[in-house]
Amino acid sequence: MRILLVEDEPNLLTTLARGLRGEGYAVDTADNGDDGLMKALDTDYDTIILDVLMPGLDGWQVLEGLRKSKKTPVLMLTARDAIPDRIRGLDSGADDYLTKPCHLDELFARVRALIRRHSDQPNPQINVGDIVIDTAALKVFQSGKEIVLTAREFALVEYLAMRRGQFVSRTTLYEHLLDEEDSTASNLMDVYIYNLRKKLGSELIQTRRGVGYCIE
Amino acid sequence: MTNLFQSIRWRLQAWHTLLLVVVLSGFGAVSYLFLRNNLYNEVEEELQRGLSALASGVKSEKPGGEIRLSEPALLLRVPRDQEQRFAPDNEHSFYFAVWIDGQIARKSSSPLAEDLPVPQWKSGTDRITVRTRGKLREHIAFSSGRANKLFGELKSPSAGKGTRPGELPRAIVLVGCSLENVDSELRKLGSLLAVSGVVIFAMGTSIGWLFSGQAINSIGTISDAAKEIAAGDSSLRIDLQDTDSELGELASVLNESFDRLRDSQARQAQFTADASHELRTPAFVVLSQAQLALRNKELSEENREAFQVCESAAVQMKELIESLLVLARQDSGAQSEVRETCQLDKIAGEAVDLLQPLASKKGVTVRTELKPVEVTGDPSLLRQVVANLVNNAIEYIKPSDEVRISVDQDSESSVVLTVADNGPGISPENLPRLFDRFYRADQSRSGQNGHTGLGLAICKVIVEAHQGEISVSSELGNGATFSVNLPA
Repeated sequence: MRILLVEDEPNLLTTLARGLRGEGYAVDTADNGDDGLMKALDTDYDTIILDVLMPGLDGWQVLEGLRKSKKTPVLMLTARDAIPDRIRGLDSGADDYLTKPCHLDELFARVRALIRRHSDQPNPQINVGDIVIDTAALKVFQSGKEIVLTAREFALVEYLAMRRGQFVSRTTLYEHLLDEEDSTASNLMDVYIYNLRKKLGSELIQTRRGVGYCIE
Repeated sequence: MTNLFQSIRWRLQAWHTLLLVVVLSGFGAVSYLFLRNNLYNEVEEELQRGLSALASGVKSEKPGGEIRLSEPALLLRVPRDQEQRFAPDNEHSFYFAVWIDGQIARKSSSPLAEDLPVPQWKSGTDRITVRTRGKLREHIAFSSGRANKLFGELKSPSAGKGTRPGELPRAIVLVGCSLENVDSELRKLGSLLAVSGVVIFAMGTSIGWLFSGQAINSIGTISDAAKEIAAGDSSLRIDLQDTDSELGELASVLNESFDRLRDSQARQAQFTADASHELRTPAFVVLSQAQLALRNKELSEENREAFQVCESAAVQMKELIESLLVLARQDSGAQSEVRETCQLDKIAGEAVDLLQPLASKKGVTVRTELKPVEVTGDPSLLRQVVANLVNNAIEYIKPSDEVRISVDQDSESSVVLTVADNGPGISPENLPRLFDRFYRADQSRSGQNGHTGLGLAICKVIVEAHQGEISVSSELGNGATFSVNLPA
């Protein structure tokens, strides 16, 4: 899952980015509205976390610009918590609204919920045969036994599980699992797939040459 | 209204009445006396004219002859212009002509003259005694030997006037009239003056009362408005029509002061709100950094503790910010108020449910007795009031103690919520300041348990914004009871 974080406070930006990466997300950052809007229009993010008061374009304007062409879920994170502010945020196309300061766990939970909702997968637990993918706890179980995965590996299996039955191209995977700072070595995805098959069995992920990967 | 006699209106009225009484009675007395004098003078003049005319009519039968004593044929012709006055049927005027020896030469046939004692010449002296009754006014002239020559007049009865020595008068002419007409006229005039005086007095006092009422009314308007503004409705202004009067000026000066006061209140509230917002981001940085660090399972115990302290401090800061914002919003009054009919018992129940885990953790018993009552207000703010009170109670009592929450109809127009505990109670010196901002009854606990010192201040602000009242009663060692009264 790839997330865009738009926040002008540098300390908060690095902290939140670090936290989100720790949750296994690929995170792009922007420290002003103009950059934020540019990136948001450029890439299909799974979620955008948007501050409201920023230099340049503010959160409302970024949202307005984004909604002209994109449905990316947006969580507004702001110091303004008056009810009219919340209403304005939700009415201008935000999917959720969170006031600073909030608990990090709550922020992460809301991001997860947004992603689930957006990919039509409201149940946080996805069962594939004897494998259970718990998208809330970020854990994978096989026959009730936990299989330890790296954050990237989990992200990959989660992404495919959420689009169960669909073939996902390598490009899409690169776009959603790696952020702007990752080197896009062309064989990186092959390595992850190889590792996952080793840990969870070769049946789980299917490959169709020239089309992509799929969890049935 | 204040004490009746301290009221400005009453004092004004008293002075006004006093002044009116003095002026009216003075004016009445002066005009009565003046008119009476005039009327009497007229009477006197008339009599004088009559006397002169009659005296000139005293003649001897023999033209040019002397009037002699005991001469029977003394004539007294009544001149033409006086005929009417001394006509026999005139009951008010009369005349006498008397010889010096007391014989009546002639007299008018008026009944007044019949009853009158004959004027007596005090022989050997120069005095004439006329005894008349009080209601008559007489003029007397006496004549010596020669006709139509008068020596003098006696203006008042029983008073004498000297004749020339050696020249004893021969005859006296006396005219008089009754003052009945004049007196009855004077009586009419007197009662007219009295009646009109009373009417003018009544009108004067009532108009005065109305005017002073109007003036006082403006003062009343000002003081009513000022009272309401003092009670917290800072958007109210004094509405006075006559802005050019002194009171109008006072009102506009007061209005300006209220504007300034409100501005500064608004600025203060705005500042608190801005500052709180600005504090949110740094508080969030600290909180998220600490939480992020605490996720690291390989953290040393020492570092973990340090980050936990940071986290709890950041959480406390967050609560402080939220509390300040609630206060700033209530202070500025700018927030669009939510007012809906809500079940206070349900709100209280929800707040208690939320705090049940905290109570269980501490081992405190929470009892509720919630009767269904409805109030108009903001449910989330009212929930906060209950939560703050219950939370406080749980914090300050011992594990074996209990908290009782009740909601009930107090009277037809008010409901009461009480949160009572049987804990250590609050010392009397702390009670009056309990609802002050940042005031903590137990200073040693400041900053612990996430207490901001704003919880009760917030309760007070919210309750007052709902036109309610919050109060506390407590005794050291005997628990504390917080009561919230809200209009039903």
